[in-house]
Amino acid sequence: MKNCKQFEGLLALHVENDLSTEESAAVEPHLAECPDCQQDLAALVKSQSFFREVRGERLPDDVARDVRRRVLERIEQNPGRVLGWGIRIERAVLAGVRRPLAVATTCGLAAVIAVVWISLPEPVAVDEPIVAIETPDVDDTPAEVRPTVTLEPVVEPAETAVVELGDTDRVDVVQPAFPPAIDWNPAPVEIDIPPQRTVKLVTDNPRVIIYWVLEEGNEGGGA
Amino acid sequence: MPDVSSSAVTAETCRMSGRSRDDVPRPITASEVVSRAASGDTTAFERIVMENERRVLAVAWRMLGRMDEAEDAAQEVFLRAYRFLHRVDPQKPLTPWLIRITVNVCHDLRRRSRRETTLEDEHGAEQVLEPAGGPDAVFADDERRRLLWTALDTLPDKERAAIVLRDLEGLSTKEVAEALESSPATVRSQISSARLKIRKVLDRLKVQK
Repeated sequence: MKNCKQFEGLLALHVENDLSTEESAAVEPHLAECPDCQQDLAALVKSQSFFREVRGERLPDDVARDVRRRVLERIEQNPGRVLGWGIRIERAVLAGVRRPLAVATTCGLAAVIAVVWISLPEPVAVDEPIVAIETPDVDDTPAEVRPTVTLEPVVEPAETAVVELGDTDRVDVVQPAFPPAIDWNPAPVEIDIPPQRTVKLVTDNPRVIIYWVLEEGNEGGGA
Repeated sequence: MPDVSSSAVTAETCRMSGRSRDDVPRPITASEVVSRAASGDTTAFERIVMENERRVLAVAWRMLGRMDEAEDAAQEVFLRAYRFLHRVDPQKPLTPWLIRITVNVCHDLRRRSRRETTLEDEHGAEQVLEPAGGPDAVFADDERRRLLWTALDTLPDKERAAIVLRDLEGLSTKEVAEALESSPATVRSQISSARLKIRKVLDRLKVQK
């Protein structure tokens, strides 16, 4: 018949009574009058008989027992290793969530936190600058500095004496220089240092004081 | 002495024994066993293994066709079950979930085995057709059985799983769909296609004989 192909799949279900009542009602009239489909069904019944034989097989008891023993040994030897850290954490979290007391406690705690949060006073808006830097008054009174510098006497360099030891050897002996005569009361030497002005900057921090030294004619002096 | 193992502990029984209802040990339900096992009770887990080991082993054996591989698969199934038992709803039956794990483990093993076989073929190793089942298996007709495994081996993984569960394990289409996380319509289509293919393979194999 020309529409046998569309019944092929249904026959494969019909062979094990897997069709609905409506489907069976559609298949059976066709099957009754189509020898090709009857032949296909007979072949399917035959192939399905292989399954029926295997279906009745019973596994040996010792195999199942052996599997159980191996599984339980693995678990009892090192349950933590079987589970792994991820699963252990997941279990702990889920176990907590599943317990009604834990759920009630969590909800109560969340409610208390919410109430406290809501009852907190609103922060007052202040029209003040976020950062205030106070600059103290600077004493800009010029201060003239004229330092006096005393020069130390210059020490003479050491002299090298040569000692003749023989025809072959010659050794240079370094002798310390004879201490020069020191004039303990030298005449003061005056160096003309241009006048300077010092500006003292006082900050909020009593430990920090900034001095600004200004030379005349050089306003960009350093502190 | 009242039968404490009975699930029906009535008020009358308690009155006659002079004990309150709370004093009578209550039998553990399946959902309690799952909950206990999920929280690490090894005894409860052992009970789960005992109740399901034959089914898991049978599915694995029929999916893989070899008993030694089926034993390894069953062991892996129960270890995975131990790991992920906390994700299961204790109120639902456990067996479909275990069958689903079994099918997944068998798919993984078959894929690995196929890869290894391909590598062996590339290295020129001789490919040996393994006899179906293990040495302990007692079967009426080993030749017919071998033919069936050979035919099953030609099926795609999903069709093979569907036909094994439906025609070898005797699950209903709805149960197969639940175990494979699929729809009954899809499972019906897979079963129909698998039966037709097996019929053709068996015809061909028998002709070759």
